[in-house]
Amino acid sequence: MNNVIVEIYTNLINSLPFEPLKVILGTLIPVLGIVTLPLLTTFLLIWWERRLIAFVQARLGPNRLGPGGLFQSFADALKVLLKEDIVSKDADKILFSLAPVLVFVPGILVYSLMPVGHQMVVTNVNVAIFLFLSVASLTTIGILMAGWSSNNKYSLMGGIRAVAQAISYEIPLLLSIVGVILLTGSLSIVDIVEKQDVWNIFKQPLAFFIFFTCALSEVNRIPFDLPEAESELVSGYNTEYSGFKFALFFLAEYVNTFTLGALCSLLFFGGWRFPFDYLLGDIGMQLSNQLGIIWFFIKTMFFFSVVVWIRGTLPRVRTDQLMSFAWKYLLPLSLFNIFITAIITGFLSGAFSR
Amino acid sequence: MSEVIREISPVRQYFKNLFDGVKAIYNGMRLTLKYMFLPKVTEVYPDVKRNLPQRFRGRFAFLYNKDDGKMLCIGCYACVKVCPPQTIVMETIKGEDKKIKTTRYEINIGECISCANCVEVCPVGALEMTHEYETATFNQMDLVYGMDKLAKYVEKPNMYMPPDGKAKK
Ligand code: SF4
Ligand code: SF4
Repeated sequence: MNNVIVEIYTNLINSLPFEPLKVILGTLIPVLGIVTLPLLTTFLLIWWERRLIAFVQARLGPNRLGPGGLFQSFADALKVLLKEDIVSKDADKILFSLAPVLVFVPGILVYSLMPVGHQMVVTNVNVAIFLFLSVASLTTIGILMAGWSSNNKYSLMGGIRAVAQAISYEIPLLLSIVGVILLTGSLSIVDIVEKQDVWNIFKQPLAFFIFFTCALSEVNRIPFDLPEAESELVSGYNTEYSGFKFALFFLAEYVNTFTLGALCSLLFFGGWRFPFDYLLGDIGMQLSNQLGIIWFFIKTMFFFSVVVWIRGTLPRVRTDQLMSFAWKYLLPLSLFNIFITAIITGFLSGAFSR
Repeated sequence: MSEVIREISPVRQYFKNLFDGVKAIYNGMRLTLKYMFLPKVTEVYPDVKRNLPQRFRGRFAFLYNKDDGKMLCIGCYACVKVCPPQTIVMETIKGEDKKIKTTRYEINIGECISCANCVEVCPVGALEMTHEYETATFNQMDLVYGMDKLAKYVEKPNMYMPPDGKAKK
């Protein structure tokens, strides 16, 4: 069953008169999509986060500009872009300018691997999940770079913390996904989603919680926002940044959080698939295939909202708690999860009966 | 008395920590979820205005009689004397009928501390605190309110009611 949107798009490209035009437009449109879509969703996300966090605190949040305050983030973006771009005197100028880009680009790059609907993926790599996580973890280098080049002790502390945190949390993060990979038998995200007749959350609940915690730490969201702890480090690695460079850091954070939500929904909640679509037969399949992008977006927004909800609830952890939590709790639990999953999938596939 | 410290084995401590953590997070998240749907405390000020209490002390008003358009003030200077920041500026003349007539009555509402001393002291009830409070201006001199701006036409004098509930006449 083909996706109507994809079909229209493919026909449109194929109906172009010249071969070079097909190639150029066929490349440019997905690239533009990858670049603009995250940026546009970021505006939505910033607004939604501010509204939701306000609701948690019994406030109203931005509600003056546009319907429900929706345009507030555009106004803020405009304000940030109009600010002077300050580079401090003793900063390492090249690294200082390179760091925001290096933080931002991996965040956007992973969108090319993200299937947002049935057949709606820019590149269907067969090791997508592996590539996804390795590209996403590049962000840390940018953060350390920003911390180091700022020539500011708070920024450096933030950068170092980011690296320590990333190293600790990357391991349980990857190990928790291994359970899903074992169930699916494939590293491709498209395959993982397509095999989830029953959502993975019902088969891998522990893995989901470990994954969610570690991903939260990877994107430096609130209980784990040590690298940019406002109250201790004056917002850490981005203290010295202003104007457009700061905007890039800010965008990267939201893009990454959206990616977190997207990964949660793709790996554990059936991505673009309608809940229990296999029970609904053909209608279910149609719902999943044609309107997939809507379900995907709803699920992702739900996880983003959970992240904001957590932000409204939990205080920041201490560095030693952060480390002991990763190494003493998450790592053994994820290993345990792999062990159990491996045994069960082994039995089910008959690996032990030979 | 000897304190009995119960030793917990490290393994039990480990699982207890895990359980406690999950429980604490669950409780916190439940509370914030509840707050998400509670009514909000924010007042959407310019759109929705608060109901002011009856004795709210806003901007100041100088009363005129509605029927004959005459001012109620008898020019006794009591309000000028009693005003703590001394912001009331007043001039009187003696008219042909030997009656004192107030020709100038100005207050600077930027200086006025809205204490309502003047209202309380006025023997004829010629002053009033209104419920108007949006008095911000772009020019400092606009804060000086003369008789024209302070004017308010009323049917009967404002007999200030002190907190003990007994009117002063
Ligand atoms: S309210 Fe108080 S400060 Fe204001 S004019 Fe009257 S006496 Fe003066
Ligand atoms: S106290 Fe009343 S009557 Fe006396 S001067 Fe002031 S306003 Fe006029």
